[in-house]
Amino acid sequence: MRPLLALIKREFTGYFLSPVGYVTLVFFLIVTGLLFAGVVDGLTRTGSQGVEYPFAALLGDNVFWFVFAFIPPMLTMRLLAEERGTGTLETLLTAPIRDWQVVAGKFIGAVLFYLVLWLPTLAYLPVLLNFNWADRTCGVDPAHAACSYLGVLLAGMMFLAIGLFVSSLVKNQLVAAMISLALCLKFVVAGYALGYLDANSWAAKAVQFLSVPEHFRRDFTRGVIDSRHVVLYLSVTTVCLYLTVRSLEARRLRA
Amino acid sequence: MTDTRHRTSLGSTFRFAVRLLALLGLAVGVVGGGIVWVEAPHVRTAAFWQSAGTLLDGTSGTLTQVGAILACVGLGLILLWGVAELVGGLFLVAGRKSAEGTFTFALAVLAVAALVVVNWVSAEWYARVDTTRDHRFTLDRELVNDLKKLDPNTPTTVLVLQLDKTSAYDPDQPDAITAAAQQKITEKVLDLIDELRQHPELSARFDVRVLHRRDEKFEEQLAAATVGNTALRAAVESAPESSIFFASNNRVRRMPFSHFYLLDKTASRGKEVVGADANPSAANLVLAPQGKERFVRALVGLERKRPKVGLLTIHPYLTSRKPDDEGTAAFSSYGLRAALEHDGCEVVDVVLKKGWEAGTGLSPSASTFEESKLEEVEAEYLGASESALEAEIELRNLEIVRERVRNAPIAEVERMIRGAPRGNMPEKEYREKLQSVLIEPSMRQLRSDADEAKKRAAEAEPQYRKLLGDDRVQADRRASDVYTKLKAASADCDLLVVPRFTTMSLVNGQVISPSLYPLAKSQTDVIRDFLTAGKPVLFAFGPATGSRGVGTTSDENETLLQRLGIELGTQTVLTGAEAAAMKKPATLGDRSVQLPPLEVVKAGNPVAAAFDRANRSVDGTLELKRSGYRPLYLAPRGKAFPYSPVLLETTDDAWNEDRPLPEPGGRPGARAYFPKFDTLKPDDPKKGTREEEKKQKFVVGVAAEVPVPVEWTNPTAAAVQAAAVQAVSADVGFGPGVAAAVMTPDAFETKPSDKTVRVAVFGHGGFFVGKKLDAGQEALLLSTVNWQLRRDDSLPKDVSDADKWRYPRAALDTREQAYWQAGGVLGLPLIAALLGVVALLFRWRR
Repeated sequence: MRPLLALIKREFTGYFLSPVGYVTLVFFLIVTGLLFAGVVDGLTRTGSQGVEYPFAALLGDNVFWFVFAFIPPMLTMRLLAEERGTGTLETLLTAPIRDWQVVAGKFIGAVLFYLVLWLPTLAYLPVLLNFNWADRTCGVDPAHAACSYLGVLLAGMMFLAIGLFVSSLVKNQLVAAMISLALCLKFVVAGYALGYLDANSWAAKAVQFLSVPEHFRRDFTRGVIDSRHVVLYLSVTTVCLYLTVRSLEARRLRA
Repeated sequence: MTDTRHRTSLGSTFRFAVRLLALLGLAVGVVGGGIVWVEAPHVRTAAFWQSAGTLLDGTSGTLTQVGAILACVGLGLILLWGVAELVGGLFLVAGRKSAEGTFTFALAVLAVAALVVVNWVSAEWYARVDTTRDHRFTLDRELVNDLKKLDPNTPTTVLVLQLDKTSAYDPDQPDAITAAAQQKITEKVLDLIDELRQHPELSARFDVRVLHRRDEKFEEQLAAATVGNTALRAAVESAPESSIFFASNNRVRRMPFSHFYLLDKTASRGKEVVGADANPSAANLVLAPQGKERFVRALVGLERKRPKVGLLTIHPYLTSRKPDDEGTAAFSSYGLRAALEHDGCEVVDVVLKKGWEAGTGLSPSASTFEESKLEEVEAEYLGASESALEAEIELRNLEIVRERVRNAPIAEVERMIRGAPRGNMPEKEYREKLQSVLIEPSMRQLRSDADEAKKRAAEAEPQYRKLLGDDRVQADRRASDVYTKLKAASADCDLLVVPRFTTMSLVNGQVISPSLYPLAKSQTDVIRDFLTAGKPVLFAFGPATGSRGVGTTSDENETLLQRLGIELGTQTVLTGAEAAAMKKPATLGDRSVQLPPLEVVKAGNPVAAAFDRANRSVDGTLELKRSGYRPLYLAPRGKAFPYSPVLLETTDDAWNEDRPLPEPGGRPGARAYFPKFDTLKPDDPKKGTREEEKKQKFVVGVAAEVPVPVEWTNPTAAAVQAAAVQAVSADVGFGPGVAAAVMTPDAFETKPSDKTVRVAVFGHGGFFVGKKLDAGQEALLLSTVNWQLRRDDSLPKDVSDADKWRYPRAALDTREQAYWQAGGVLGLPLIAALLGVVALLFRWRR
């Protein structure tokens, strides 16, 4: 376990030692900050307009997810591809550490940094939940926030696992990022087709099944947890991590 | 020596070929898709998948077919590339150099297969956990069971129609709040349908359409949404307000937006924060949820049967049939029919008087509208035919006279035409003069009269023949017993409406004689039997003092109501505004007056509460104004009403008047009479009685659920009471009236009647009269009728303020808002950027 923890620490701190981590963090906070400003505008309006589900306005938007799809590839592109490119992967693989521990360490490190990305957004909560400091009550159901963050964690894990897997296949970080982006976007842009599909058709159901923005717009941000989304995120994460381990094993076999 | 870095293997050649084909496929697919996009516009709609097959079979045109084939080929090549890359990737994952590599490859394939299977299983068997504190996304078990009745093989069309009127009472010009409410309610409908679609236990299919009347493509969209469903189209076209339509299996059900979410415009304007003054900062969209149950019930068609409302009027003009002309529109109850039919009721007319056309006096009747119409048309046809015949006969007689004037000896002519002596006029000139001055004009007039009468008869004949040939009308006509006929006509009614429209405008002297209205005993007996059965009756009785008509102005209905605890006053309520207007000179025979609106008493009366909720949806703009009310009084009761039965009151600027109409002076120069409020002298016999003129609020609307008098259900109790009254009055010396008042039949009944009946009484016959009811009239009618019919689903639901829907608002002032927004957009990213720069500087230092 100690090597695993050491690897996690190494990967996690690695983000803070490279400009990529900060660039990602700043980019992410600008995007969420802009969306937050829009939501605050809706929450403080007077008259007959407003925002019914603040978290849906923040996380249920297609534009947000389109921009967000760039972040996991930025975080994962270097994980294995960089090691392959610089030749340090062989060193790592010959170290007294199992393949799955390598994958787990890199994945957990990425997930922890991903959580750090979201950590500052907790500052939005007093406004998004209309928190009353006097009696410590929320005007907006806190379940919306809890489910939204749960969804964000699960979806993020899925995207990161995809990125990690792709990173294990190629040497070039940029190629890894591009392929990861292409794969992640499939879960984002699928929902764009919904307007052209008969809602009762299997095609629409398949698109809804895959579309992450739809999951957030309809369920997570409203306080609903749908087992289909959870199973999808966790199963893709598991399979991608498994395939990454297999990929490393294959590399060891080829060596 | 071969350069191994550029060695060309079979695999790399294959990958190159597949990738090349994929690029080619992409190009071909884009071209094909573009052709289809241009040639077959329907692919741009949600119905694309339903008609995708027609693209390939050439039904949509050759060019479209070519485009579709190209698109399919392109898609196929791209898919082939995808599969090849996937397999290649798996090989890459697994490695290719050993048996273990093959095993790893198999595991990788199995992992991908497991991913697909797990997700397929999860898509089929899933659960949704609603973590919200009010469980707003959880459907009751009962509703789920109801929804399971929907046929999963037949999609239910849910058509959301936006007309910029969230309720029938909304003004025609929508404001921002109405438009926002309409949009939000539409979102709520779509959300709920989505929720039903996602529910793991439901497999119903929905075809959802949203149409907006102001949309440029409305007609086109309506035509597409109602293909093969004319009933749906008709329902959409006749909808008076924004509505949700459910159509399946040739059945169409309409649900007004207000039955799903009722707009509370008063609260939306923020008026309740600081009393009557609007507080713009508190303005928010406020909707009162009416419950998912109503929606689901309408969706699965579990509505109760269409209630039937019987309208008992005395003249065909007063019925609810569409008026033939504007002249009769002021008397028509067509507005009542339209409002009730839109609300899901059926209306039948019964005409209680006949003999209007004959002019030989009125007699009791219980005619259907058709039967009454037959009487009218028959009188018209027979009268015109008779007139034509009479004119023809007279014409023949005149022809004979003309012949004799022309040829008979002059002495005989002079004898015949005594009114025109010949004098010294020559014989020839006299004969010609008689012809031209006397006979020819008369003959011309008679010919014209005959033609006119024939024309009228010809016009009336088709309708007369049609009604004459109607077996049902004939059967109704043959039945002569009024009680039996009225009993049969009202048997399948769920509610009776009995109006007495007596005052239209006191200021302008427009009244209908109250003496025309009293019903025969046989007719009021049917109304009593109806009440005895626990069925509701709505009485709208105008004043009986509106004109100086002769004869009685009351009937047994007054006694029935008295027995139910509601007494009708004998005077007319007049307002100061009307009295003042009467003294002003008329313009073209018309005096205008601004009538004060009635006050709806908010003291727990369910009808008043329903009216109030409807009124709030239009920001309190509903008004009820009529001229000349009849005051209502509530008799003292042993047991108090569970709520105040008082529904409507006049303003306190009103008084009870015996002579409410202005009257001209009898002799030339005599002063005309104008009604005015008079304080009685102390010795006036009316002093201290109900008839004493008082300026106060008068009750003019009552709605109560009262016990059915025991003697109506139990004749024995009535007989015992009668005997006791007789005995007591003989022994003690009270008059029979006093004894009867004290000793009601209930006093002799050991087991009081537990049957109740919902009665509404209004002190004006014109509350529901007019070709089109205004918003206030309609709200009052629907609130009253739905309460009487116990259609709680159609009444606005009582929703506490906490349970009303509104947008969440963050309690931030402008300054705080600016800080939060700047902090979000600039603050946090800036901190992150600073940390990044510091970290890099730290690294460079090392």
